[in-house]
Amino acid sequence: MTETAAAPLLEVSDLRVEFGNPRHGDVASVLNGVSYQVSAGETLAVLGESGSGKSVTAQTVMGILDTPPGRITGGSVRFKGEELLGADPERRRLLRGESMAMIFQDALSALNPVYTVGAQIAEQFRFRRGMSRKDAMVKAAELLDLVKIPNAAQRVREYPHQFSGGMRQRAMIAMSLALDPELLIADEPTTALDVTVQAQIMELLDELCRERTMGMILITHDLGVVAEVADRIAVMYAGRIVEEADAASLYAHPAHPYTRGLMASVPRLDGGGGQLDPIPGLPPSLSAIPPGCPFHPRCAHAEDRCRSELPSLRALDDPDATGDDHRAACHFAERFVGASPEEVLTP
Amino acid sequence: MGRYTLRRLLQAIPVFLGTTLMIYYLVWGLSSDPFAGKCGQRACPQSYVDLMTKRLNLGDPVIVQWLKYLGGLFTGDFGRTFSGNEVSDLIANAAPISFRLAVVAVVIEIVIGITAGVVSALRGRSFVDSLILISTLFLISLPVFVTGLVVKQVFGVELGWIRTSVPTDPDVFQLFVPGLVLGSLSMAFVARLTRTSMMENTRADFVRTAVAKGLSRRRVVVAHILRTSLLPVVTFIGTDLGSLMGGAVVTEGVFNIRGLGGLVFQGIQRQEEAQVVGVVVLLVIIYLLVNLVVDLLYAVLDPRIRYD
Amino acid sequence: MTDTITDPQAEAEIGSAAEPAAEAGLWSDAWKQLRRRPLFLISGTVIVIVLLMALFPSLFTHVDPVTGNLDQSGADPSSDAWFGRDLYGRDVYSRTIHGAGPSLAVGLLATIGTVLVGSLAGLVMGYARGLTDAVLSRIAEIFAGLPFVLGGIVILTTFNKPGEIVPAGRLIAQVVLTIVVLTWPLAMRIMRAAALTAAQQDYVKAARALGAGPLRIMFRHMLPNCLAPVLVYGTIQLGVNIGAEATLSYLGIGLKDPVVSWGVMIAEVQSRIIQMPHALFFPATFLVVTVLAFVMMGDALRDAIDPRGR
Repeated sequence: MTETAAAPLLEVSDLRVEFGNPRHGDVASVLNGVSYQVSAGETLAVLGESGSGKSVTAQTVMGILDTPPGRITGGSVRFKGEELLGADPERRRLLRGESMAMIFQDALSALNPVYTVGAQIAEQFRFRRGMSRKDAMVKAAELLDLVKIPNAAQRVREYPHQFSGGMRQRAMIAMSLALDPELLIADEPTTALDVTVQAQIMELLDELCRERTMGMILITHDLGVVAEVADRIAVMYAGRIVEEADAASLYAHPAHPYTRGLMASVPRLDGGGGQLDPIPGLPPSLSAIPPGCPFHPRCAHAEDRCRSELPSLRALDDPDATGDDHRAACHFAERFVGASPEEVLTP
Repeated sequence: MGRYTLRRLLQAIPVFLGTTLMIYYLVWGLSSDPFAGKCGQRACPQSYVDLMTKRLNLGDPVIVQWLKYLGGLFTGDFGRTFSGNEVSDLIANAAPISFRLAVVAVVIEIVIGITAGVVSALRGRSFVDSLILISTLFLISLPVFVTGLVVKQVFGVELGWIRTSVPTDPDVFQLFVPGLVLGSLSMAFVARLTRTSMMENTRADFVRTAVAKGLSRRRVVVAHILRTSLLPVVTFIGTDLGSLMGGAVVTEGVFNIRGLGGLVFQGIQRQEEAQVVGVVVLLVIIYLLVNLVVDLLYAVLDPRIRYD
Repeated sequence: MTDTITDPQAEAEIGSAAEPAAEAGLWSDAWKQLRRRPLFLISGTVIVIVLLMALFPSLFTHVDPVTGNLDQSGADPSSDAWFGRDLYGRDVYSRTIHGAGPSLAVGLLATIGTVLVGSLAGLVMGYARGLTDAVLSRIAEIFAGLPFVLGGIVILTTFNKPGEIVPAGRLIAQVVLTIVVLTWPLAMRIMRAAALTAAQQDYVKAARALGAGPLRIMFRHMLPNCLAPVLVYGTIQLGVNIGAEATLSYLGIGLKDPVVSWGVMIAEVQSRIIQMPHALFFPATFLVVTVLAFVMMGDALRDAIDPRGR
């Protein structure tokens, strides 16, 4: 692919990552061919339980995956058409912060306790832009102000432990915006926060993305967080994307039993949906993913075919979706896609 | 910060009082007759006994003696020996040499210890790492006097690389080998502590953040991993000064250095209680002061302490 | 509180029932780790051999360690005396073997004393906190403020004037007590830190809320969770204390002839190393190897119990 305007901001295809040492025979297949795309200004939400590979994908994109124990065994990550896997480490470093930035779940441990919040933001201006310490601190204060931290000029000289949880996450966001990246990866940015603060942070992130036409990958296991801000949603299970669609279609016509299960296990604020149905069982061990469809042991609709044949991610005929936007990896996706999420289907 | 400083200062006072009282009591309070053996085989002349009893306040209860001694300390008076020397004069002659030795040891401990720890941590599982781990274990197991005797014997006597004793007023270069011997144990601890601390911090979330910010490896290692990892090392070096001073007594003996350690020994041999108490009290004061400074330094380095 | 739980003691039992299982897991995991570590196997072997030397010196030698032949003063190692002879013509090999006993005995007794005193203080401080903690902390600092060698000199010379002949048993007791008095604050700090953490655990809070007595909380609930770091400390300290005994003996204020310990042997030869280096080399090697074995054992234990350092 050439570097044209048509190339999406980020294109991950068939990404494969293993953990562990094959010589000891304790290999876990963490990513088994993950593909997704993000365009400029678009927010992609990546949903899934812990261990589904959401964060590992993000870390691989950022180039901060710990290797070992991780090992990238295949696939490609292209940023504006440029292949990143196998690229010069120095080139990748320069992309970090500048083109893509990341915010983490636990801002308290993600910020260095011995430096002021301002110094940690200013660091990027000083070492990436060659600014003086003083100018960099001014810029840091501006950023804190941008993410709506009151009294920014003063708080820039405070330490992370003096900030409240929500304020810390705002500071984290300010830090990620320092070099004006085109892609922001937010790894469970609100999980550690109170519900009221969660909404404020999501609102801030959404606003910033729209203002700056910044692409965002929002990693979460919380369907409620996604609904407000996501343009598109990808659902991950056992290191694979099992369903992907624009947000509205996915909510209206979930086509994979796992997605349906996720939705049924979340209490709905409008009171609809009746009782909660948690998905039975546990996600599979990544060192022993069951043959066939990895979800079949937990799926109420599994048939023989599901136990032997791995379903591929394919486009569905969803009346609400634009084009072939709605894709799912289930042998019987057509059966589910027409039904509303609440309908109980008999196999 | 001000409150923290004040609190630490106040905490040091009872420790100072308690330690000096304990030393004073052990040395003066427990001996039944301070004049036993002072004047050879005969009993001391009564005039001498009276003079010394008055000068050393031996007529008072020990606690009063101690208080008067403390009062003297504040005016720089460490008392006088039975033979009539001012203890402060003896100390003034010996202290600079011991101080130089201690500085050499601490510098070696910090420079070599931290460097070895950093190299070991950054290399991960490798030959260098294993070598440093094993050699530090070995150093930790060597009592200072054994290291001293062996170094003196092997490098001094057999190989002839170093002189087996140092001049009366040695400079820092002449004190390098004794300093190395003295600092070797702490150096090993510093190396291991730095390594462990670095390896823990390398996996810390804030280091991942620093990498994600696109900082250079050098900046990540120095400003984020090392800077944070040195916190426990600083504390260790402070608390370890006690063993360094004790080790100095031994090292000075091995290399015939006329420092404070020599004074303590001389004092014991000649039964000059004032000399022993003077030097030990001085070392305790230094120890407490250094610990105070290290605590304050720690608060400067770790903002979480400062604002508690 | 629901009506199913009527007996506070029963609830306390439930709280503690969960934790021996976790503890057993910790220890058996640690054991599995240890068995594969060469460091552990080597140090374990050395410790067993040294223990045998201390308990049954006759397994290794039948030569009398205290009577010598002055004609053979300072003789080099030979088939007659493997490690040579010392200033008084005594067999260095035999003395080295017999020296293991007192060296180890002092180290072991001092360590037991340090760990007992320090742990008890630390546990009480971790449990009671507040004033008790502050007062005991200051007291510990008084002892910690006295550097080991200096403190040893002051204490031991106070009780034994230079040149005084002191019975061996009393001397051993004095050396042991001196080491305990000067090193317990370190054991206390380690136990206190662990106890403070343990006191924050929910099951301890639950036991407290349900009215379990202080002794029960300290010994049934907190102690089992504080043992690991103290055990590691104790193992390393055992080695360090053997070295401490040798240092005190070397300075002439610890054990003395006719007691045979490695420190005594080194002290005796220190002024004549040039004439008879073997009389320094062998006891010093045994001393260092033994200390190293305990330090390595402690290191291996720590790695097995707390894998973060690896």
